[in-house]
Amino acid sequence: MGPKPLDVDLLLTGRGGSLSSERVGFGFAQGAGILGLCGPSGSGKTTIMRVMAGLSSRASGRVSVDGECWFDSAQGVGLPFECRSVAYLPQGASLFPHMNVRENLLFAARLEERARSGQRSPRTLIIDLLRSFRAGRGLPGWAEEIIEIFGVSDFLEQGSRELSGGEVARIALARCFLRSARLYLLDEPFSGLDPESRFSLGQTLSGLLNKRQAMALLVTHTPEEICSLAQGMVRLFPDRDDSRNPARMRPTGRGRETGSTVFFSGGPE
Amino acid sequence: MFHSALSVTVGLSLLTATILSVLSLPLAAWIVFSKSSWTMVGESVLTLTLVLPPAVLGYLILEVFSPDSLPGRAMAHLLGHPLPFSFAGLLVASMIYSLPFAVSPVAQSFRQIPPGSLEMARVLGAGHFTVFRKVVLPMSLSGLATGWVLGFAHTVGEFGVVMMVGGNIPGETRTLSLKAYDDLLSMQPNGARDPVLLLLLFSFISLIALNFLRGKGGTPHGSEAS
Repeated sequence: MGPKPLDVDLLLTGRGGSLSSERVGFGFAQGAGILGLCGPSGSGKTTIMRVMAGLSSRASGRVSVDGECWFDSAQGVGLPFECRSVAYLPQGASLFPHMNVRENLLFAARLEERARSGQRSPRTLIIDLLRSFRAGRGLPGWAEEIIEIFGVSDFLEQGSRELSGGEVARIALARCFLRSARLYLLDEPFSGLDPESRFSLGQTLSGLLNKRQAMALLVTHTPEEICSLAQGMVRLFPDRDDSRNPARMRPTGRGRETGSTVFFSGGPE
Repeated sequence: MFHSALSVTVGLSLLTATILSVLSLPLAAWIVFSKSSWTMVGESVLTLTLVLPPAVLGYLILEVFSPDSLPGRAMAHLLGHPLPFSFAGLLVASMIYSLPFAVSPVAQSFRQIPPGSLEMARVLGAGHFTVFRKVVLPMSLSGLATGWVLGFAHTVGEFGVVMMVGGNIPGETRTLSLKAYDDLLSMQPNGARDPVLLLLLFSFISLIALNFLRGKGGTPHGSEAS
């Protein structure tokens, strides 16, 4: 058996002056799918996401993906965000207020195209610049496809202030998936959406992840709704009563426990 | 005579405000976004010209750029004439004097950009330069315009520094405010009226422009933040 697609073992250092720290471990045994992450406010969900994305290092432990070490506090390894194949959708993600929906999506699509074209020499830089003038405001075909999947093609010409919360959530999710990555970190991506669209968007999400062979860690306050989609669920508990017990994580659903780390079998039954 | 004073003032103010607006972008970006603790020193030096009397500033500029000093000699070599008592000298002095007026509105609008927007751009894969060009700059246009107007207005109205560094040479370094002063001293009836009225007009137009920018250009007060 090769290296696990995702292996996370973190010790969240005490926040707000508390001395206790929480140990969190989980993983993915299969290369694609959704892993739910839930827990009460303040249990460290966002911190885990930020450490995994490389935006914060307020934890110790290690994070590795496909055997590649992204973060290891013991060895002083911490790849910056740019060097990880990761996409991050922060909680309450907003659109850029000075751009309309199309420009918001175009911003992400251009950056993705630039990343795909690889290393930038002065020549490719000039070609990029010329292309950006020629391409004008049109979205490339591959981006249109993703926008279609998320059902946001109807709002393209709207300003980002004219949208409802649910529409913003949808567009932000589509914009996040314009970036191709091995691991998607989605912090409450469905907030503001009605239950039906949550469900259909969840289906869309898991279909897209399967197609791309990518993993997603999805923070949610209502674990029931993604139960059918997720390969597993990580539940965090606030450290209140027993600070001597380091294992703060209880597995639920399918999965087997090894120490404090849970690897989920994943995949449909 | 009057026209030359007007064109010196307008030319000087336009040039000063425009050059300062361009310079204010990297300066404000450094002050707001750099993690270095030197930004505090930089900001203090910047604000220094706000509290220094213009005469002190004028004296310092004369001293630093006098033909006996090293920077003065370098400038004289570059321009072909000593910096003080020339239009170029006036421009340099005005830029130093009006710098905080152009930079602080820009810095202020940089600070008002929600950190979430900056991080969002970064996690979509944008480098520092792209974040600046596509997010920071478009969201700070009203601050930039405010800085330009303030730099312009402040340069139109300056007196002490212009007097000391420019030397009041008609047609080259005599500005409207110096003309008003000269006309007043010459004791001619109504001599200072035209420049004074014009300065009043400039100031009033600048204030209208500022209020317009504050009301319409930026995010209006009480509007929904998104």
